[in-house]
Amino acid sequence: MKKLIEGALAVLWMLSTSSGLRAAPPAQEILAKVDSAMNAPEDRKTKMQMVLVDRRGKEKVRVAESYQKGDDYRLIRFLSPADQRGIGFLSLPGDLMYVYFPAFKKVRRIAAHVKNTTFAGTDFTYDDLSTFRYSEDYDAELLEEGKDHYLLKLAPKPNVKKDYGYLKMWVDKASFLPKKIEFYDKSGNLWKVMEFRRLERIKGYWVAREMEMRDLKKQHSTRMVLEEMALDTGIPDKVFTKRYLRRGR
Amino acid sequence: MRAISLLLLGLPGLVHAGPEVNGYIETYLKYWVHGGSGGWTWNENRLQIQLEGNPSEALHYYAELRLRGFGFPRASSVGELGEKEGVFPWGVEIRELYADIYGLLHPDLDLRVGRQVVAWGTADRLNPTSNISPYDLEDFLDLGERLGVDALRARFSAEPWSVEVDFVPMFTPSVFPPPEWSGAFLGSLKLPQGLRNLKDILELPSKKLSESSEAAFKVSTILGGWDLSLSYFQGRDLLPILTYLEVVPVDTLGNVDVEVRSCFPKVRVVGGDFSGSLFKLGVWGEGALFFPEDVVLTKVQPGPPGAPVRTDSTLLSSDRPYFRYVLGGDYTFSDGTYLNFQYIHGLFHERGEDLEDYFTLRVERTFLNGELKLSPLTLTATVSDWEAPRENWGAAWIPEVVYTPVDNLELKLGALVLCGKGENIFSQLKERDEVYLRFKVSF
Repeated sequence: MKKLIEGALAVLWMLSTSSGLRAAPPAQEILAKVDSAMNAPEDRKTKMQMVLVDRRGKEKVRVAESYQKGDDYRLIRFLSPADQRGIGFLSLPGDLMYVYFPAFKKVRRIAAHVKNTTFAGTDFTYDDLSTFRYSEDYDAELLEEGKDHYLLKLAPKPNVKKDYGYLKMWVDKASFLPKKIEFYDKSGNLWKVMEFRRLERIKGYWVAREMEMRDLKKQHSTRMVLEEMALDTGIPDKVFTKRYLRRGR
Repeated sequence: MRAISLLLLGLPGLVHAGPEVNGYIETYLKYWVHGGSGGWTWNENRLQIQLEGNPSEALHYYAELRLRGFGFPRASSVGELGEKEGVFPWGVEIRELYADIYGLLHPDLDLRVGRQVVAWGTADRLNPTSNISPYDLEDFLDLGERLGVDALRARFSAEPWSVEVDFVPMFTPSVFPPPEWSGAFLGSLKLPQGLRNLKDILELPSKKLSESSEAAFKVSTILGGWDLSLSYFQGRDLLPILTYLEVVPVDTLGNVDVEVRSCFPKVRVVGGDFSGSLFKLGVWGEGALFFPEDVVLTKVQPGPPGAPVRTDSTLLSSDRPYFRYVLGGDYTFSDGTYLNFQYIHGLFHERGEDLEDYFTLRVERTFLNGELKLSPLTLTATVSDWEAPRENWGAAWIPEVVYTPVDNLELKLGALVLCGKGENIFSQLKERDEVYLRFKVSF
């Protein structure tokens, strides 16, 4: 009898875990998995090309290198164009952000007010570039479960101030990486769209090789292509310091 | 793949790299707007070259050279047209030239040797704690610009702490603006009527180590989310101070010869600064307590025949330190408008009891995805006597338009409007309104 019950339970478990019958995990859990997937590598070094396109179709190209460790430490440095070369941005835990302008020979603290302004002409805000966890800033609601995606609605938590009213996030079921995020303003109008493309598995981690942020109000977009990427190389902590931001190269 | 990993296991970004050349070319013109007597006051074509490289992970070098055609033809005779320099004045400047040695004696110790700009302080451009690099006052519009100084700098970092020690073996004075501007920085020196000859003697410190060298240190950290630092400087004032004035009558018509002597007094400075966020506002503050050496101004002026009158007055006293400070903040509104404001007690040329109060305001807004930047309200104002403010005020207004139609090209058009009443820097210069144009291509 005991064996019969165990067998029945095993069948029920198998049925419940098969794709057709599995219940969607709670929305907040999906979002936490998104955070984990996005910040899965211990560290990453990337060289990225950012193509800025304005409403007339005119393109500007920026090349930057980026170092990230965990989800709290990030350093970005522009390599081109010449008039922006050497500009660096450092994001540390506790909302500490610094910028380095070679012309002034100084590292400058950036206050919270710039978090929602765009960085160096791109459509990414300082907030987008500083690392954070969606699940810490947003409450998630599952709107839809598709064959290969979850659709979440993210509303800023009551104590978190964002320029966005809410976000809609399409999450890839296989990788738990976002495929697309729509940013809505506080009046509910669609403001920005970020798409993640060319999802690849590198060293066992899912990463998006290409991202595009489109600002529908400005009719301007930034396409970010990761030209080079190295994961889990053991970037030392001392890279994420004002000392290295100042050092420049 | 292994090679890539090995490369990245080193300090990222510090891979061996050969020399890289960057820089810009710039054409810079200024026009003095003053009725019929105005005219061109600045004509500069500048090539700036920045050369840098990393011969090894522990070594970095940097050089910043400026080659420029500057000024106007000086030829005053047909014969002088044969001297090209009189027609095309030019010059070369080594702005910076230094080597960085990383981790030589300790992994967290960086050394920098050579000509370098040492910029301290959290305030915007006007930094009372920054007394190592001399001022480059050549252009009034670039107030706060610094020159490189020959120095040895050691910086030890144990984040969030860092300790910096600087040693300057030879004092370097600041560069002054053209004579029509420099009077505003020289205080209350009034040259008498009927001046025939002026003998202007500047006493630079002797080249002895004890007289010419300077030293400083600074300790920085982050505490409770605030960036903080304390500093100490022992050296010389970056601007000269008048110590001797002699007026000698040369005839009975009132004509005189004048001799003036100036020196760079020794000074010790204890400083501190902070920066951080208050709610969403960026805030900063910086203060420096100056301990000067005694400075006495001796005046020898005509008295009864054969008996000139000599008077001594104390300008600076070692037992009367003075405190210059800056408090400021900035904010970016949701529409992208940037606001920056500062209160300044004592500009760099003010000492002792003659510290004035200044207020600065800057409002910027970008358009066309950052291609066009308007700064309609860049304003500095002062009240030199609060008991009679209507008669003692001054202001400088610098509206500016910056257009960047494509990467690496920048066009600037702006104006400097000066006004005021009474004795202050802006009222003294109120006849010097200018418009300017800058055209810059980076490479």
